[in-house]
Amino acid sequence: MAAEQASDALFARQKQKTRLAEISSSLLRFAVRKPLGAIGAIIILVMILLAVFPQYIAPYEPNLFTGERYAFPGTVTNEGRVLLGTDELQRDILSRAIWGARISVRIGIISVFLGVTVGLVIGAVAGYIGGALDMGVQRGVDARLAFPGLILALFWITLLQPGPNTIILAIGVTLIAPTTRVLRSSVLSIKEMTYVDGARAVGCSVPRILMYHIFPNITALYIVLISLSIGNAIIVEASLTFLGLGISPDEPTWGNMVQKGSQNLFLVGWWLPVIPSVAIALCVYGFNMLGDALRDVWDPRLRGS
Amino acid sequence: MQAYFLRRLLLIPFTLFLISIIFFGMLRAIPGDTADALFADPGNAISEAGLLKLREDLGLTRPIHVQYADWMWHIVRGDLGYSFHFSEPVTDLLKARLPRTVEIMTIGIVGSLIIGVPLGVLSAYKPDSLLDNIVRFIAISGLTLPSFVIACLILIFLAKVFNWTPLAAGVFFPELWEDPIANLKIMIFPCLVLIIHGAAPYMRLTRSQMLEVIRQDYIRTARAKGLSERVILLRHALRNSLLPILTLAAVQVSRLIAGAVVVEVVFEVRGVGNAIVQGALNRDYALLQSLVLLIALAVLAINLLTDLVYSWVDPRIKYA
Repeated sequence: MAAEQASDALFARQKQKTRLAEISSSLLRFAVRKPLGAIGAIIILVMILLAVFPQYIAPYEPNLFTGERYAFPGTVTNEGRVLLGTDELQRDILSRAIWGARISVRIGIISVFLGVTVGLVIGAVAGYIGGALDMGVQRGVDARLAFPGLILALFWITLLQPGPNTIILAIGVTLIAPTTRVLRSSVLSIKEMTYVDGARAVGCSVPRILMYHIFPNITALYIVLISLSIGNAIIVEASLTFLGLGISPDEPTWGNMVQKGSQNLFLVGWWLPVIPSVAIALCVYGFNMLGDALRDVWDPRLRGS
Repeated sequence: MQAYFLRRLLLIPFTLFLISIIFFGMLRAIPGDTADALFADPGNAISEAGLLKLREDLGLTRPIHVQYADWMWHIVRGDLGYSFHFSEPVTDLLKARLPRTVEIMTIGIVGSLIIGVPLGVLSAYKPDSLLDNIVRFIAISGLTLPSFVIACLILIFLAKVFNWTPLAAGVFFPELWEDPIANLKIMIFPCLVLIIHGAAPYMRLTRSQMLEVIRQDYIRTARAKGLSERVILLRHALRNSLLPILTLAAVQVSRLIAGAVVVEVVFEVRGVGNAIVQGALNRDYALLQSLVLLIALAVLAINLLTDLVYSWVDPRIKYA
């Protein structure tokens, strides 16, 4: 009995090990086939680490006064060396850029996850059921798409109180319509498949067909849409903050830093806006590259979209 | 064909109507109205009775459907309301600002097509050459950098090299028809941002389309006939790649509007985009709700126009 248990445990461990090996080998294959996607994934991992543990990674507190304004990168201040210089309020730019990842990455990921998920549900239900419901949803999507996303987000923020949650909501809401359209068209083709007919013939209910037959087949598309939208969401967030409609100026965010930096650049350092700009570009680049690679691997039909 | 476009044309007022209801409903559902927004500033506070009087004057105490009908009635007659923040009627505001925004956007879209499409063709002509790699790098940068970052980089360059700042331009703004050269001297930089930002997607799409088309049989036939590469590329390949580029151009318009908003703020151009941001910052609801309809109308009209151009570019396309 005991021996059997032990062998079971051994078997389980081995199985786990082969599973791990499988995952790591498929990751490796992905990295070899899509080097740019792998680079994107690494950038994203670093950004997420920065966003989660800024207190351990950043050399200083984001609002610490180092005692020197507009210090050139590498200057030694009262508090120590500032690798990327200081801003107009004597704060370390490197530390603020690291803390800035927290807001940008969080807003990007949560808003996109919310928006694309709601779009998934609406698109799948409207596409599957069709008829008047689909027609109504499509007209609504038309109406929404008559607006640039940034402008719509801007109006939302005007209506509600500015702040991180409002921005998440605003960006999420703007994403619903485009995702609805993409996923609906995909559902339209899936619902004509024989296995969906089969499920209907055995008497599956509509929610069951959606849950077990439709959703699993658009999961890849869903993940690709998420990773492709995050880069854009980060740009919208930074743009809103840059316009002064986002997060209060004391918070360290990339949009804020570029805005403050560009106000002061005529007086002094060009590096003030450049450093957060590089952070935004890197982050967006990472998400876009990973999204492109995932799309090529999982859903080649989407190429060029 | 005509019936299709007629139906599309009729759909525009319907969509606008839908948008106006949604937006009006949203404005009224959220706590706080124009009167609150006007006196939100503590230094500006007035008594409760004063607020009530103001609400009555503004017509905010009437039932919501009456307010909506009133707003629509004014819109239909061409009266877009009164902007409190700018202290002038919205129509006057648009008269002064719309030409500037249209100028920026027109130069932006034409410029990005002129830059983007040829670069895409060149980079597809010799894939993986040095030129191709440079073009792809520029395209990726244009896609990853937000327009405000590009704008700031250009500003830094201008300030460092030419000692020029937009602050000097904001106050004395020469209109295009008054002094075209002075006007373009200022407008060229915001337009440049939109061109860099806007050309990137065209480069990418043109390149991928051309690569696809170049592999087709009729291109081989054209080569076999002994046509010059120039004729093959421009007459045979590019023409057949144009359609998706047109589709992209229509999609780009709404991206361009967002870009114009940012660029106008950065370069202190007093255009419609700048007014939207000011209106949003100051909760100028009358201004916002008119601009919402205006933007929607512009985008819908451009979409319809693109579809018309489709059937002109590609006679195979028939709408039913």
